[in-house]
Amino acid sequence: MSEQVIYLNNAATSWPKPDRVIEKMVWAATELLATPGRGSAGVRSERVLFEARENVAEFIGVRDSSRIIFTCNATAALNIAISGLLAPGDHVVTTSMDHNSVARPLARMEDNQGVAVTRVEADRQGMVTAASVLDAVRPDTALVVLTHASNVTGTVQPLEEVSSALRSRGERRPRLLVDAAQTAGVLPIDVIASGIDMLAVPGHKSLYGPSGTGFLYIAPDLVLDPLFEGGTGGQSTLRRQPGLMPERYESGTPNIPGIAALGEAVSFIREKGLENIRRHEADLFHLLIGGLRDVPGITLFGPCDPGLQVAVVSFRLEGLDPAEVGGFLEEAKGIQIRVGLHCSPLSHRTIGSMPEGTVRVSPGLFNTREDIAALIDGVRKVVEMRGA
Amino acid sequence: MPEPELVIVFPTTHLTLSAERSLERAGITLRTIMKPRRISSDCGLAIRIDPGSLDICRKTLTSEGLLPARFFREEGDEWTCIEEMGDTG
Repeated sequence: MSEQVIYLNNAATSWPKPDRVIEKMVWAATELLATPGRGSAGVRSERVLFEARENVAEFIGVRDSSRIIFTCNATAALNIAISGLLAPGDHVVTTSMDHNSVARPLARMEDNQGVAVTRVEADRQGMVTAASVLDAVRPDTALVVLTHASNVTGTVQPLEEVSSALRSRGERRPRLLVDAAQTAGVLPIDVIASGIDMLAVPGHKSLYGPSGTGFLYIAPDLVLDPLFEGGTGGQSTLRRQPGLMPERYESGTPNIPGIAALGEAVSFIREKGLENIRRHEADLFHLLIGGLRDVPGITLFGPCDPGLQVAVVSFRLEGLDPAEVGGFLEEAKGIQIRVGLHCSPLSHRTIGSMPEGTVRVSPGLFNTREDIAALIDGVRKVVEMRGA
Repeated sequence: MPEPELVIVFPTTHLTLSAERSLERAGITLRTIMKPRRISSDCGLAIRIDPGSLDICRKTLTSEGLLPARFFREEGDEWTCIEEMGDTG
């Protein structure tokens, strides 16, 4: 990519990737010959998958890494979780800050499979209270879905309060599915300590792994109907999909180079340290919010508080379509951001930014203070040019 | 004549590699091999151990929850299952 690019769209996909992640991917694509479980040449691939799985498991506090299944992204992980758990007649509690990767499978099951859905309304900053989520739980509630942090406003939801209250309900509690698309690699997540039943994570966002990677954690006492079935490399005589993990949910040839690189990316994040990453992003966040606040005609969405959100900032400029702002920033300044609805119309409805959506800026680990200054300068320029 | 070696077979490769690591950490000398075709037509791996390690293997696999597992002994051209641990279905 051109040297002039200032990339501030890390909430969509992080860029650049660490050199060691790319090197690992190239190594795996070059050196690993075969599909795991399919012949002697596949043994090295098996070992690479095993190491990556162990690494990912340890990162989220899981001892038995067979509870981790690799997916092609967080959307796939969420679909496996939602479709695999729910049955006709079940009730689900979710929030009005869901991404379409949660909202759409639930809408389908609501329309076609007799699943009832309660969407707890967040406030205008995108925040739900634990009490409002828990009040929505009914005796027939099978699942609570929580988007850990919004991809539109960055708002972090009260995960610990919700999970703790659900756990106190004992064996008859609803299961808790957490969409960690915007938090894995930024906020510490320990699925065991937090009582999370299923955790959906993309590899390509704040973990700095490649696109086409992700994973789902499934608690040991949970059995889902597999969304995909097929060859698993073993237990081939079984008529139906094997029950053992991780094969139950992994069929077909996996993305070996991608998963190898994801494992390396997790090592990179662990070595960097979540505290350091969070501190860096909070520093950029302060600069960003501080600079944007003074821009004439700006409306900032979300809490605007790094203690309450991750480094995702949405804004609008009076009289300007977000698409115009994004177009100007890209063409005039080489700044990559994302505008529009961010695949999350429910969130935009909640915060009052439908139908145009917002301009979203999401700095990452490799951004600098200079990048933020350039963005703020660019936003000021577009306002001046349009006389907004 | 030396005692014939034993092979441990697990239902998944993930379990095999988990066992390999735990058994190595327990100080057991082992060799991970392709699953002998006379044991199973499935692809995958198996762990070859010295018969003297049988007890400590049992203990390690049980304490680490690395089951089910089946132990085979080579007798002539045949592999005989001498023990099954856990629910092997």
